[in-house]
Amino acid sequence: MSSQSHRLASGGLIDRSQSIAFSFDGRHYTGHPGDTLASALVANGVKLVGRSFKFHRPRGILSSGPEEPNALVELRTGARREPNTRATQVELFEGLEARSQNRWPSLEFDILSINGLAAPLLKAGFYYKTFMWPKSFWERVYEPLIRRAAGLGCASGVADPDCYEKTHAHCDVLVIGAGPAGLMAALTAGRSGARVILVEQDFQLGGRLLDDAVIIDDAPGDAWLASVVAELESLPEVRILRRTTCFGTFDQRNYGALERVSDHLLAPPEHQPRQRLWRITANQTILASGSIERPLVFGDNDRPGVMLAGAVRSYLNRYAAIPGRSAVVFATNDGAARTVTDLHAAGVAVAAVIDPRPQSSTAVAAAAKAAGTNLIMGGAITRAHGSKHGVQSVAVVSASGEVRIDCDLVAVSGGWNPTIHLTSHTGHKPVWSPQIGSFVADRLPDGMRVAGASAGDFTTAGAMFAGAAMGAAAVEARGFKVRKPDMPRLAAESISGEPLWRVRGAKGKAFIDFQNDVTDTDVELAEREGFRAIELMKRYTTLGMATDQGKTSNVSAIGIMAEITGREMDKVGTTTFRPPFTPVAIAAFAGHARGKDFRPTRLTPGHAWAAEQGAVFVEAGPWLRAQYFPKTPNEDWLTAAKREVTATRNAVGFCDVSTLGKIDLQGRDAGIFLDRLYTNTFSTLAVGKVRYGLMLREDGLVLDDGTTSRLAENRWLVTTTTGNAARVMQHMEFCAQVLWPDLDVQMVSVTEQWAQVSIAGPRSRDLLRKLVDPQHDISNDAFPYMAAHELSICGGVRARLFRISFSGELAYELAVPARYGDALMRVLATAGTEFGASPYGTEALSIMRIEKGHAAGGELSGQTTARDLGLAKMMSTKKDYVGRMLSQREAFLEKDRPTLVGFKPVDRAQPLGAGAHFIEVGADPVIANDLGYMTSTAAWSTLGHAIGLGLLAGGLDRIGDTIIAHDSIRGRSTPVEVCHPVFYDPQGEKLRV
Amino acid sequence: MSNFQLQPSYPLAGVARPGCHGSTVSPAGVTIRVVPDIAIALLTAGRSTVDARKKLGKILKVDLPETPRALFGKGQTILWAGPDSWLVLRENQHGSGDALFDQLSDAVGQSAAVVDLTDSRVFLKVAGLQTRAFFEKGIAVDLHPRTFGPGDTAITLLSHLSVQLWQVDNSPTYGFLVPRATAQHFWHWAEASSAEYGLEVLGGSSQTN
Repeated sequence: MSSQSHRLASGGLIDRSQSIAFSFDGRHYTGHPGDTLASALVANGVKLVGRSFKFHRPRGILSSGPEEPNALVELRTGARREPNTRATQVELFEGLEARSQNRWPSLEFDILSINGLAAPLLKAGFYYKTFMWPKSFWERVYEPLIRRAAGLGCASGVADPDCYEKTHAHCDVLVIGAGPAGLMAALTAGRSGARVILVEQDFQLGGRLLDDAVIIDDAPGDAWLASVVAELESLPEVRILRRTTCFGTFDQRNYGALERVSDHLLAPPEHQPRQRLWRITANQTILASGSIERPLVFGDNDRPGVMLAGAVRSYLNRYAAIPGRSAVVFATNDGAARTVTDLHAAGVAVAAVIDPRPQSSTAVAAAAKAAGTNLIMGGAITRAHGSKHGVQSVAVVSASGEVRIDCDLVAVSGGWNPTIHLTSHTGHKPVWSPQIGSFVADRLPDGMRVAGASAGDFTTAGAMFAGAAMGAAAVEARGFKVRKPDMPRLAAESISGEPLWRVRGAKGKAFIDFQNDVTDTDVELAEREGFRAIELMKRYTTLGMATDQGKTSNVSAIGIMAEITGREMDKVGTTTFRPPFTPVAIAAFAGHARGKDFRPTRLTPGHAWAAEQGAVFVEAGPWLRAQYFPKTPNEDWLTAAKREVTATRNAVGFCDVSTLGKIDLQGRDAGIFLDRLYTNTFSTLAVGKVRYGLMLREDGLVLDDGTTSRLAENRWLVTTTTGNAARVMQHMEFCAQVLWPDLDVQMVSVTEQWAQVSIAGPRSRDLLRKLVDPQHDISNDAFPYMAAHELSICGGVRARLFRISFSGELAYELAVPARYGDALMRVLATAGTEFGASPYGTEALSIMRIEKGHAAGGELSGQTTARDLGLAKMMSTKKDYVGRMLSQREAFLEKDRPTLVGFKPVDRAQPLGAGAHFIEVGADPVIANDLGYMTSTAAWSTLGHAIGLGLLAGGLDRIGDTIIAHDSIRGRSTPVEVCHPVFYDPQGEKLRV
Repeated sequence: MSNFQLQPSYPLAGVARPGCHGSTVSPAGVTIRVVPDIAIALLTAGRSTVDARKKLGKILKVDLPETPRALFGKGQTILWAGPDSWLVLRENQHGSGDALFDQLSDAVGQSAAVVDLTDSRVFLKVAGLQTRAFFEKGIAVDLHPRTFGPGDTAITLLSHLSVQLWQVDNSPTYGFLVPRATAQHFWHWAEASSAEYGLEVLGGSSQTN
């Protein structure tokens, strides 16, 4: 185990009393609580942490935050393996195993680093230009090859063992970011009594107060911070979400945030999710997300040891870890003063301070003097020299010529970009601010205010003042009396600076985007080839893509493009910020909706009984329905279905039809309402009767069919198909509320209130007689075909009996309150034994309905008219109804429009396939010869062979003809005989016995 | 008289197992009681009636709520269920909606539609200190005491299901209705979402055994 060679003996927000063991690329190290993986690597003197995406160049840690482009590592092993994790955001935990990415066989010796030698070839657009021909090679050869060579990390490939959650929260004030501005905003809002949510992506509150040595009220900032955090934690209406990134702004004041509940642990504790996705609805929002420092663009600026100055201060002050022994500070702004002072205080030699401004500031000069180092004004680093283990010296050019300065750390700062991503997710583009040399928010999302560095206010005092003021404005907007905290006292800060987009005369590769290996010459090339628009430049060069989305590179690239094209920054503009701010795992969006819980499953009241019988279930929309009931475990579906059909046709069968939609319709105008809804007339239906009805859509095509009963003068029961239940309910509500608000109708779905069973077969009445209470006469005379009565069964249980038939047999549907559904199935099975009763599933149901030529799913496809289905006579000419006008469109009435007929294979032993297209015998199977298609088939029927229903040009006129059913999917061409669509009991005599 | 008897069965029987689930904190953050013996009827005022709500209220001798509110009476709760529409819940009805349906139908005559919905919903009483946090995982309604208190009700979505909840008291206790056919889906969600707080299923009734 290596010692923490680069750890300071004191200071920092780490707990030296405890050690945490971890490994990186198989080597073991230790850190302390309070460390990130990145800070622990720095403390152990590890500089090389990854290889770059394209050139496989050695890379080190650049930043200390979510903007990190280089230090992307793979965490954990097995099913929890997680690629592309930013080491700068990984809280260190005992047993952490991390590995570098994009190298083979090892980080030290990476074979593909020879790509660097071929760099002149691998410039922007290389893939598009090189791998163009032959076209067919792209998907099969080039892309897999490129992906294998490039890919950053890989997924575990096995199911995620952890659970994820989603939750909602509401607040008066949402504060995003717990730095100086956010803390003051939250404190002001919290003290005023508002409901506050404070979201901080770090595990500690404080923002840059943690990173910089700030003096507040004449004491180190830690003391002030601790008291504010303690007060916030004591306020009952303030919720603090640590380790939580607000990743998106959405419409209507909604925000998305990801809480990494257990990411800082080896595995989530029992009953805890790994991560939790928050949807926060905030009336007022204060964005205090801080800013991100810009690196500088010079030759070989990607060498390990080149680090953002703010990150250097963070490692020194927060983590007491020293990123180098001898530093050069290269900064375009007065922040250099802090960096020099902090490096010097930590005992790091400051070899030189380089300020490209012709005249540096007094603050920088004073700091350089105090540190006893040389300040080079008007100079710049043109190239960093060194090895894969990092920078060893820099070449500096200034008015006095070129010098070489030895160092192992280059602290760079090109200025700061306000973190304004969340201001523009709802479509507002930022604007250029010459004052701060970066982009700032212009129009803001509803209810949002921006404070502190994210508003371009880079002083701590200014951020605190703005935070408090905006906190006050936010709570005032919510009607609270403002209780402002005292303003802390801070010394004045010097923050002036000048942007420098790139160093002129740089030698070697000058990177803008480290994550995508994009250099300044790539931007020049893009410009030369016409990709001047910033969005096109992004796509052409890939600058600003991938996990960091250009957090450290976008603005510099815009600056360089502005320089090359001689345009102002705001004319070049920015690319579009889209959620998420940092990557969010898909699992977090799914939450508990995984596997079987992906969507609700609806179970019928008789489900448990069917499961006990060994039924095989099939999904029918959200429902599970019994498909067939195998007698023995080995009985196949067709054998079972044949047996079930035979039992029903010869004796009695029963089938759970509770899934069909049921709508209770009441009101004085219910009859008129139904007349307008259905193509046929209902207002004339007598009480105690049921009628089959057909509904059209406004466009004249069939919407749905079903039976509707009149249970009392003004009380009706409408039924729908299983699949269209919700659609029909919606349609009826629309008609009642929007089209005919004057009609007195009330409706509600009662699908789940009633368990309904179809009882079919010649013995069905005998079976029912055993259940129906004796006072009810269900003889053929008293209860004829199409009767519908409310009655009681089994000693007073209220039930509804309908004499309707889908199977073509003497049949009934019996409905009981759902709680009796399970018992009813059991009673039917018991009472039916003497008649040879059998339950049947959807396979038998389907065979019997095809035998009867009833339209169902395959025919009610949303593309058929009533006429297509042979139901033209159901279209009343005496009244108006929804869809009447458009059902008479010319094309719908064309003579050779395919209409419903039946089919039998000429060779009765041959199978039929749904979806097969009809052509004349001898015709080529091409679309020009198409005569229609098979909509439904039964593999077997009581006729002893396969049968089918289909839509055929000429329809019933072609009965007796032989045509070909051409099934390209199954590779069959079957001669079929056209017949009437009703195969079984065409006169319907069995229904009325 | 038929020789056959129908025994009622309930969708959460054997699924909502009485006892403690998830985290073993004591007391459990969430307690759920599956309430048996409830009768539920939907009352929808006729559309042609002017001032239907008031007229209906007079017949039933209650001030029917015009906004999403719940009215608590002796053994009976009336929930706003939409414009001119209310759910009447009556306890101790042995799970049968017959008596409530008959009584309401007789009382309102032709001035309103009455529909028995006893079997279409599962009625739960949810209480415990973590109840709000638990519901917030599935419901986008703000349940904070400043915006949602005793007597408030909401018809909303939870894990794709159409549900109705209302606050009964400040402990806080909520009444909750979930569609019968998807009660098991709800239960999976509830067990997963309450695991970190601990869930105690109160029971011993036929609906949970």
